[in-house]
Amino acid sequence: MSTNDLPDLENSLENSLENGLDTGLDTGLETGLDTRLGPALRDRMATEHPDLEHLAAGALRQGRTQRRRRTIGVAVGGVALVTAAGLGATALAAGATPDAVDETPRRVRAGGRADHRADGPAGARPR
Amino acid sequence: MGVKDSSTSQQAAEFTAFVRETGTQLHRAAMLLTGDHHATEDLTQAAYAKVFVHWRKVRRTENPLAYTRTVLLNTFLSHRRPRRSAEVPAEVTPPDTGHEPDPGQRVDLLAALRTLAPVDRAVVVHRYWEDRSVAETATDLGLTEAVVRTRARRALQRLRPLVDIPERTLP
Repeated sequence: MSTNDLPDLENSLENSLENGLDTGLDTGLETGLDTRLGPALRDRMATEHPDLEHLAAGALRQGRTQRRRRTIGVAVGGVALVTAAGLGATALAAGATPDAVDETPRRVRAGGRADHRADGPAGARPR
Repeated sequence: MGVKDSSTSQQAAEFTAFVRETGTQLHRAAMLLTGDHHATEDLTQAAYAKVFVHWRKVRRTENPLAYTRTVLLNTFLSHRRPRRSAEVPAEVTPPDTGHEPDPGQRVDLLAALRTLAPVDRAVVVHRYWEDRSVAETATDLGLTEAVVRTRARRALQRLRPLVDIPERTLP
């Protein structure tokens, strides 16, 4: 694991180093380079001219793809959430009303009404 | 539907204008970070693409360029991390300590920058290319000010024998 993966550890270590080294190394060792580096970097980059139209088109294309993926991800996540909530609600409702999972078969009489007499608890008699 | 299309195309036009306006600066910063043309194009495009995803919010911020610059730096640093333990493309290969430039031999500034660790390079670009303060650099890179100072000093120490930067006469 590198120090870049552990910024906190890195910061504390560097702070310790900082306290130990601050006394001597800042005293003009890099002063000249310090002031000349910025202009030197600008000079070095002055000849760099990107194709801005190509860059804009590429960024737009890539950005639109990322937006689409993000939208799809949100939609899929939403559907999953709703489905999970529905399943949870169903399970809760089923747990609250045991009759809903009564697996005993019911006979239907000619009149169309369910005949519960035959399926009633043992010992129960119709009036 | 028509209103949405119009809004989307307006966003695209605004974003394209933004890229035209700021692209050169960010491309150059990316070039300093990566030291390679292809990696620079990929990094710049990836950073702008991320900005486009949130363009509705970004365009309303005080400084969209600063936001984009931070995205660029974070994209650069985050892309570096997983590659360390995986296959590393040639253009972003970390400096090989066994083949460092001879300190006695002066090298191109970009080649010298590539000898620095990615975070040190980001600090140098922030401090000396973007001309940002230690505090701003620390905030943008998620480091403490002491770490920024240490890293900047260490980077300068490393660059000093490698590059020959002439004194500039003030205009």
